This record gives sequence, C-alpha cells and structure tokens, in this order.
Amino acid sequence: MKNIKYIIAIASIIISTLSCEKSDTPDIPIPSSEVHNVYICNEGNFMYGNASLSLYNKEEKKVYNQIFYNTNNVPLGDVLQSMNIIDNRAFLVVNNSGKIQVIDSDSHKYVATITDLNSPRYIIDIDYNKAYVTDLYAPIIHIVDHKTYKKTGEIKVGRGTEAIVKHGDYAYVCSWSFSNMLYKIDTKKDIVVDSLVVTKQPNSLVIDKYNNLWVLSDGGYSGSPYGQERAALSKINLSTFKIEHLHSFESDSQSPTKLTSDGEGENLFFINGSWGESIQNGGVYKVSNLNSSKPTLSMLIPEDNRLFYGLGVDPDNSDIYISDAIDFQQKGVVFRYSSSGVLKDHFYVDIIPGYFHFKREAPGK
Amino acid sequence: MMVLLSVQSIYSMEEQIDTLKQLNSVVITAKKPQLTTAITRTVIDSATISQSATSSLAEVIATKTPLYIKTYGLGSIATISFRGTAASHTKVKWNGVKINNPMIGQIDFSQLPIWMMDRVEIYHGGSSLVEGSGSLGGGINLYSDNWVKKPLEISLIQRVASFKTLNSALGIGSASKKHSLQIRYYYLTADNNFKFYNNAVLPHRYQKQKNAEITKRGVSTDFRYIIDNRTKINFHTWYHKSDRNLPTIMSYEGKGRNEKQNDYDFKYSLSAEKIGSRLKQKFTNGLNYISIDYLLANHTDLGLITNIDSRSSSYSYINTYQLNYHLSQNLELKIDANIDYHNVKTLNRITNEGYRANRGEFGVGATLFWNRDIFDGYIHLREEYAQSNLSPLMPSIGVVVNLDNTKNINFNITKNYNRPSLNDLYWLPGGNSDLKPEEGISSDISFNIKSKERSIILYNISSNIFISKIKNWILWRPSEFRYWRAENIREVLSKGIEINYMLKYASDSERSIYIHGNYGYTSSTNQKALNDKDKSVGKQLIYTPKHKASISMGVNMYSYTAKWSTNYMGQRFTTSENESTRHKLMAYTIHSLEIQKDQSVLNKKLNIIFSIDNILNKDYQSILWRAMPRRNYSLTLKLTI
Repeated sequence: MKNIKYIIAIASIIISTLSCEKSDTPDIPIPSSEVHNVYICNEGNFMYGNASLSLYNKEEKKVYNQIFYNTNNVPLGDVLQSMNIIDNRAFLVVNNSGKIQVIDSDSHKYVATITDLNSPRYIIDIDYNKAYVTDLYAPIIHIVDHKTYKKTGEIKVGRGTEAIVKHGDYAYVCSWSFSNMLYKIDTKKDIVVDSLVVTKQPNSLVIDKYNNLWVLSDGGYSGSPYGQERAALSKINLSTFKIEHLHSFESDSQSPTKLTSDGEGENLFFINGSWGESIQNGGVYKVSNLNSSKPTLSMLIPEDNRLFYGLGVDPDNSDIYISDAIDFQQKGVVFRYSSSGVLKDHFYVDIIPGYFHFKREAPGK
Repeated sequence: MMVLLSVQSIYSMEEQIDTLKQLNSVVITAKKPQLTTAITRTVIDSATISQSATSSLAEVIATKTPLYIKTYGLGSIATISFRGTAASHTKVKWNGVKINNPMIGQIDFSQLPIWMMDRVEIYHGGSSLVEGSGSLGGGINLYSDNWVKKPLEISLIQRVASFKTLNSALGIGSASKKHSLQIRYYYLTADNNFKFYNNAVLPHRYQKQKNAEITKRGVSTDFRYIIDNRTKINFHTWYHKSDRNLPTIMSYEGKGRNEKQNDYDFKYSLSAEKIGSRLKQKFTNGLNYISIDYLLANHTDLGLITNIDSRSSSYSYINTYQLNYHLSQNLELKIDANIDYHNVKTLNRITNEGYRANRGEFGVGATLFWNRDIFDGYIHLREEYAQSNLSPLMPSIGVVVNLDNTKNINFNITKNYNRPSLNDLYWLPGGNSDLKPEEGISSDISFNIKSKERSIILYNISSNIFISKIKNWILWRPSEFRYWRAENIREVLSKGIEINYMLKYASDSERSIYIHGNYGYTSSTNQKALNDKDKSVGKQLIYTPKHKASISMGVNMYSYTAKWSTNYMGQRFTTSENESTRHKLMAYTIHSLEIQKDQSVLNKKLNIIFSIDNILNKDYQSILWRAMPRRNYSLTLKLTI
C-alpha cells in the first residue's frame, strides 16, 4: 500500500502544478493622436497571423504595441506589409490575409476592411477617392475607392507588382519577384503606358526632390533559375523614362533593400545587407548629390552584429529608424539615429518590424 | 513509461486484461527483454492500438504519452516535439527502415494510421542511440509483426463521424505452418467543414471551415515465410496516398485561394533472420519513397493563377545488418551496421526553383549488455560517416538497479549527433552547406514501481527525469525580402519529467474500474543570444508546452465499457522571448466520452463504439489562429471474424 500513497502524492503534485497556470491580460494604453507619431508595421511570422501595429510617440518617447488589437479586440492578420494614411484613415495592408484593414488614424478604431485582394503589398493615394494597391501574386494593380473601401477595378500589368510611387498624372510600379520590369501607369486612364527593363528584382522606389526616380534592385540570388545580376541602384529621368545613372554593387552577396529618402528628397538611404547574415560593409547607406552625374554612396550606420530589416527616415527631422528582427521570433528592436548617424536610443516593438510610416498633419488641419 | 521487470509479468498482466474485458485497462506497457533492461523504452502494445484503430499515430501519441504533437487539426500536418526538441530530432523506423523524410529530416505523424501497426516502441532520450543516431529527443520504432496464426482472420471497421467523416479499415490474415500473411487496407475521407467561432475577423462570427477536405487511403502487406525453426524471411510493404486541402488561417479575407498537398508514399522492408543458440543475425533491406506535391493558387480578377506548384520526391535505400551474440548467459554483444543512400529532388514548376541532392550514410554500432541480479546495464558506441565526414564517437551508457521485484531505478547518459537535413544543406536559396551537425548530450534517471502480480489492485507508475543540451541547433531565419537561411545558431537546454501511471481494480473477470494517464513537464530553453538585444535567452522554445497531461477513467461492466478522457495542454508561447499577452496560446482542456458495447453475432465478435469528443464544446487553438473543431461525434462498428 506504500506504493499507492506514492501514486496519490504524485497525482496531487500534478494537479496543484496545473492549477497554478496564470493568464496574462494586455495592459497597453491607447495613445493620444494629436502628436506626430511613428507607426511601425510588424509583419509577424508568415502563416502565424501575428502581425501587429506599433506606435512610437516622439514627444513622450514612448512606444505602444498592439494598438490595432487592443483598440478593436481583433488581430490584424497575417503579415502586415505596409500602411499609408489617406484623409485621416490608416490603411493597413495585411499581405497574407488578402485584405486591408482601415482604421481611424486618430482613434485607431476600426472603420472597414477592404477584402477580396490576393497578396496586397502597398497602397498609394491617387486622387480624391481612388487608391492603387500592388499585389505580389496577382499580375495587376487593384483600384480601390478609399472613401467607400470597395475594390472598383484593376489595372492589368502582366506581372506581380511591388513598390509604387506617384508623380503628376503617372504612377510608377516595379515588379520584384523573378522580374526586372518597371511600369509607368496613366492614373487618369488606369492603364500601363510604358515599361522599362531595370536590374533584376527591383524592390523599392523613391522620387527625389529633383524629380528623379530611383530604383533599387537586389539582383536576385545565387543559383536562382531566373539568374542573378549584381544588385544596382538606378536613376531614371522621368521625362525621358530612361536610366540616366546606374550604380552597380561590388559583389553578388550584396542584396540591398528598403530604399527611402529624407523629407526633402535630398538624400536617399537604403540597407545594404545579405541573406540572413551580416556581410562585410553591411549597414545603412546614404546616397547624396542626387542631381549630379556621380551621386555619392557612403556607409552611414554599420550593421555591427545586427541584422537590419526595416528602414524609415523621419520627414520632419531626418532621424533614421532601423529595425532588427533579431531571431524573427521575438519582439524586434528599433534603433533611432540622428541624420548624421549618431545613435539616439532604441525601443522594442513587435515581431519582425519591417515598415515605418511617419504621421504628419493632414494639409489644412 | 511503465517498466515491468520481466517479460513474464507483462504477459500475465495482459492476459488478465484480455480476460477482463478486452483491452480497456492498461494503456501502455513496456517490454524489457532480459538483456536490454537498461534501455528506457515505452511500448504501445497491440491492445492499445486496437482500441484506437481508426486514429493516426499522431493522435495516439498525443493522448497516450507525455510527448507533444503539434497539429494543425483533424488529418492535418502533425509533427512531434520529444522532450522539447525539434521535429527532426525524433527519428522513426518502420520494421527496421528509417522513414523520416531526408529532405526535412522530420515526419508527418498524421500520415501514419495506427491501423497499419501492431506495436510502437518509444525510445526516450539517449536510449535511442542503440537504434541509430540523430534522435536527440528520442526515437520511435513501428512494427507490423503480430503474425497471424489462424488459417483465416478478418477484421472490419466502419466508422462514421461528424463533418462527413468516413473511415473504413479491413484486415485479412491467413497463416499456415510455413507462412503468415496479413493484408490491411484503410480509407478515410472527411470534409472537415466544422463550425467555429472566428474572432480573428470583424465582426466576430461563427463560420464553417473551408477548403479542409482530406482523403487518405493505403494498403499494406506483412508476409513471413518460415524456412525452418531458426530461419525466417519477413517482407512488409506499405502504400499510402493522401490528398489534403489546406485551409487558410482564421484572419484570411482575400479573394480565395486553393492550397493543397498531395502525399504519395511507398515503403518496403525485406529481412532475413537466423537465430542460433547463441548467435542471432538479421539483415534488412528497405526502401522509403516519399512524394509530396504542393500547390498554391490564388483566385484573381484574371482567373485562377498558380503561384507555387512544387513537386518533391525522395528515395531512401536502407540496408542494415544486426548481430547479437550471447557471450554468456548474462552477457550479450550486439553489433549493427548500416549503409543508406538518400536521393532527393524538388522543383517549383512555376519558377523552376529547386535542387537535387544525394547522400550516402554509413554507420557502425556496438553494444554490450550485461545482466546481474540487481544490476543490469549496457555500453554502446556508435560511429558514422557521411559526406566525407566521420562523426565524433557517440557513446551511451545505461544502468538499471532492481531494488526488488516491483521497483527499479534506471540511469542513462548519452552523446548523440544529428546531421543537417538535405534541405538545410542544399535548399535554394538559403541552404547552407557549411552547417555542422547538431550535437546533443543527454541524461535521464527513471523510477519505476508496480504492483505485485495477480493482486486485485493493479498499479504501475514510472517517472522519468531528464536533462539534455543541444549545441549547433539549426534554425532557419528569414532575411530581407523573405530569403531564409539555415544556420547553427541555437543552444538549447531541456529538462523535465515524464510520468505514466495506471491503477486498476478488478472485482472479478467481468467487472473492473481503472484510471490511467500521463504527465509531461518540459522546460526547453534557449541558451545563446544572437546579439545584446536578444531577449530569448533562458526562455521556453516556441510551441513547447511546459505542462501536458492526460487522464482516462473507465468502467467495465459485463459487455459494456464507459471511458471518460481528459487531455490538458498547457500554454504555449509563439515568440522566442515568451511574450505573454497577444502571442500566447492559452492552455486548454478537452474532455471526451466513449461508450462501448461488445456483442456476439453469429459467433463473431462485434464491438459498437459511440464517442463524443470535445464534449464541453470548447473553442481552442492548437496552432496560432488555426480553427479547431468543437463538439463532434462518431460511431464505430468493429467486426472480427
């Protein structure tokens, strides 16, 4: 019978251990909206449905995580690729959920969902009610009404679409995966009017203050059946729609991404990195003298045992925000640097912070 | 694990159970052939398997053992975490043939219907090394060798269940003095269109699961030819095919997508064994062919566009030779050698991305078993060669102290290595040919206690405390623009306890009550920071529950049996720094009830089983934002001729 006592004792330990489980409840305040805020899109893990939106209050120097979930009691979805604010509405592009969640950009309260997309990537404002949404898996640009939150049509492009910028009556969109194409869209007629071959796999676009279009291409990867080219930064003259200057990177292992500019469009910035590992001379680069025949590239912030993933430049003061997703399974960290590359501080956001959006007061407000 | 101290005692207990009411009592017993007592091994026997005949091995392991199965739901992909290790750290053999997919190193346990097996042996921790390297968590051996002894045996199972689920299983056996043959067939189809509460969209709502249909079918043969008393030839084959639609996660509100996976597997095991008075030899030749087709297509405004159409296949040719030589009555030497060859190819037909690779593997192991009255043990050494690299020497030592006929203490310490999978090495992009093998050192101590034989109250409890450290743990990290790369970056410390218990009271041969169950505590933590901002050091690995438990209580009364089962799954983190608000999977407890009536119809045995799963109609998630079924029912008829 001694053995029976032993069994009962063990069973008691198990029951008491199990009953000690605690459940945590989120306790994150909803931030005030009357300040210039920085939104951080945390992609989350592909197929985990754990994307989230963080907000950094520059005045309070305080970060608020999970603002969408905590305000609306629903998860954002799977892979928050990017966002944009159009007329006091924040459009959150949830790539692998095939939808865009629309929230009030002041209260962050849910407004609507634009559904029935495929693999949406970026959204830009075209006119008073029209927006374009690019799509990785569908060879189109979706046309959506950003007032009614309905899809109203599409532009046939022929390949999956990625980064998009607007200039005058034209939008320029690149096709990234296994592609080397840049397309010019007439935004009045919603049709492709021109195209240009660039270096393989163009992933980001910027228009500078001199009205040059800059295209950053990662060149693909070694061993790809599509082939690999050296990564390149191309400067395109918008009036001729031709490449005016091409900077080719030094080695095949370099895979630059996240081209962006400061508020004036006077300098460009990008991450010079590689596949999942730090490379020699990896880090944030600055491109200046944009209108000269020989723009200068210089290392601004070395990667230093980190893996830079997202990059944003504050249009107000040119502070540089860089994210490191660490192991891609935990809260990533955002480093805040001055425009000259001096580290100011850092803060933790959420899983795989990949995109920054700087909120500015709407015109006329 | 329930360790009984002699083969005889196991059989005596099984006989009693069979007499009492066919199977319902002991869930797990452990065989301990005399000279291998120091190997920590759990055996799921044919009685338990027969009770779960329409389940997959994933479901049986999840409910009958403390091991954790990560499952995407009914019939969906299910992988194992043994003592907090990765899925590729559990190696599985079927009738002596390694069946892990060499591309990914792991195996989908949902693709292994328990109907095709007669016995499952689970080797805990370092004890698995005697069966081969790579099982840093443990190893699992599957056998279909309950040789039919009658001229004709037929068993037929028909099950209908919620969500348009239909199972059929048929077994036909025939035997003579010279041969034994069994042919098994199974078929499963399910719409899986269960209703669930979707709180991942607005407004929150009930909706039906879509695109989750599965169909599985397979046939196996087990043939034994007896040349003479000492010489036998065994030939096993298994063909399996499954077609699965893969549902989207709960937050999906896109235009619609078709995602599906079709698996086609074929394996055989041909072995010849010769048993002498002191010498036993066995040679096994086998093949494991795995083919997986994966398709992802999106409904767009321009029609259905296929984005991924990948075809992957692998051939593994396995050859093993095993020699057991009794040096004396208490001393046995075992030598084993293997020559294996794996050939894999994968291609995404849309982008032409893919790779082809092959690998030869050679291994030699030597084990010396000894047996003294209170002090048994073994020493094992293993050496392997693959890809021009000789592995470091892998040793394992196990000792058991038999305190008396009802109690023993078992100790083991082992060093083991796991080679990177072929995807880890060669996948494009991101495969890393410079990867080192993962290296594990593990130790465990177990305490086992049981009742005396033939008592009215039977009980059996075993507790197993383990600790292990794995260096160079391989992890795939995404980089900018979604290229992933495999790296030896983690160092993991696992420790915990596994408990199995059983208590049974039988007033006579027709009435009994019992309780049995298991509990697992696993602390599996990362020990290495990637940089100074990494907060995952000392934190539990993702999808590794610290607590997991199950308990079953049953009553047998004449021809009726009732069983209540409760399965508890502790909270699981989905982030490596254990963020515990929005990214934590809550603990859940699922109850189920099963009522069985045994009947004799025209001298044939008929079992009628009615069961209710998730009886409290609970909404829960096994994987983040993956819907799971609420209350569901099934009716099973089993006829044995």
